[in-house]
Amino acid sequence: MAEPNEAMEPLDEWHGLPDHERLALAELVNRVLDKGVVVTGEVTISIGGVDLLFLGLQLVLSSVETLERAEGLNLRGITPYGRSKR
Amino acid sequence: MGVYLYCVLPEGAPEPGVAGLDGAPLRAVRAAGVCVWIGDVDATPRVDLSRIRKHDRVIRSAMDAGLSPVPIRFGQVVSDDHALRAHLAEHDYGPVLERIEGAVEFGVRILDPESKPEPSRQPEGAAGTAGHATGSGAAHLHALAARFHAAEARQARALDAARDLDGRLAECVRESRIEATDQPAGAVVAHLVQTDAALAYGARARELAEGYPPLRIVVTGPWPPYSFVDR
Repeated sequence: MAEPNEAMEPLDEWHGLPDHERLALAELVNRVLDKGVVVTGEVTISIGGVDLLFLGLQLVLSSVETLERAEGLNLRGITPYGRSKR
Repeated sequence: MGVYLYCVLPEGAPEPGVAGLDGAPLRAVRAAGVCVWIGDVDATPRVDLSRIRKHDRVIRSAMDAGLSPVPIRFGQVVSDDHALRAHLAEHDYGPVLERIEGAVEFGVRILDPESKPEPSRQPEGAAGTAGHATGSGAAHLHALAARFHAAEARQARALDAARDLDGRLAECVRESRIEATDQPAGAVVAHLVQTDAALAYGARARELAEGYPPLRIVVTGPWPPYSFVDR
């Protein structure tokens, strides 16, 4: 089992990012490190460490943000109508 | 040496078309009626943001190719192809592949602007004990209790909003999961949405998200179905 302080490593470049990118990344980190199939029984990070990424973000968010504004995360490939309607 | 796992796909899936963590080439292992996209690694990769992004991008590249990948959690390494084949022989991925076939995940996070980060907690009986006047003890406990109840109330309000939103989005959704969050107090809903309903879902979710002041509703997606593949 990895040491809990591994949770700090993703935070290194965290603080310099604008808020909507931090939110997008928090959602990403939450999924990639905390969801998905566990095959080996070993996990890299604790749930608590992931949730903490959301602390402090909510005070400055606009009411709705979507990941489509973050790099590479859009409806591309999901539907033939995707971007052309925007 | 080891085999780092990205996602499980139907057996007929093509070879991966992108590079993996740290630019390493990827390949497909086929066994037990499924295909797994993997990369050969010297050791379990350390976690950082660029590797987290890359892990997700590999899985997304399968979605971009029109496939429905079962995402594997970051950092899962088995010793070699033989160990992977043994795992696949023992674990039937058919049901989970079927569960997420043709669907993507969206997230609805309910944040409460009144939920402040907790002040850092000092260990009981550690620094500060000696300096505290005994008379402040009861007041301190009352303050703690009040904060606890306020946080509970905020979480309950967020959960109510989550359930309400979930109900209003139900017609666009194949499956949903609602969870309370503690830090900050709030709630999160994961939705499994048929790809051909994704645009309708997004439009409806964004419209609904405006209706819960003072709560902030954050809709994200589409994601690979990370939240719907536990077995």
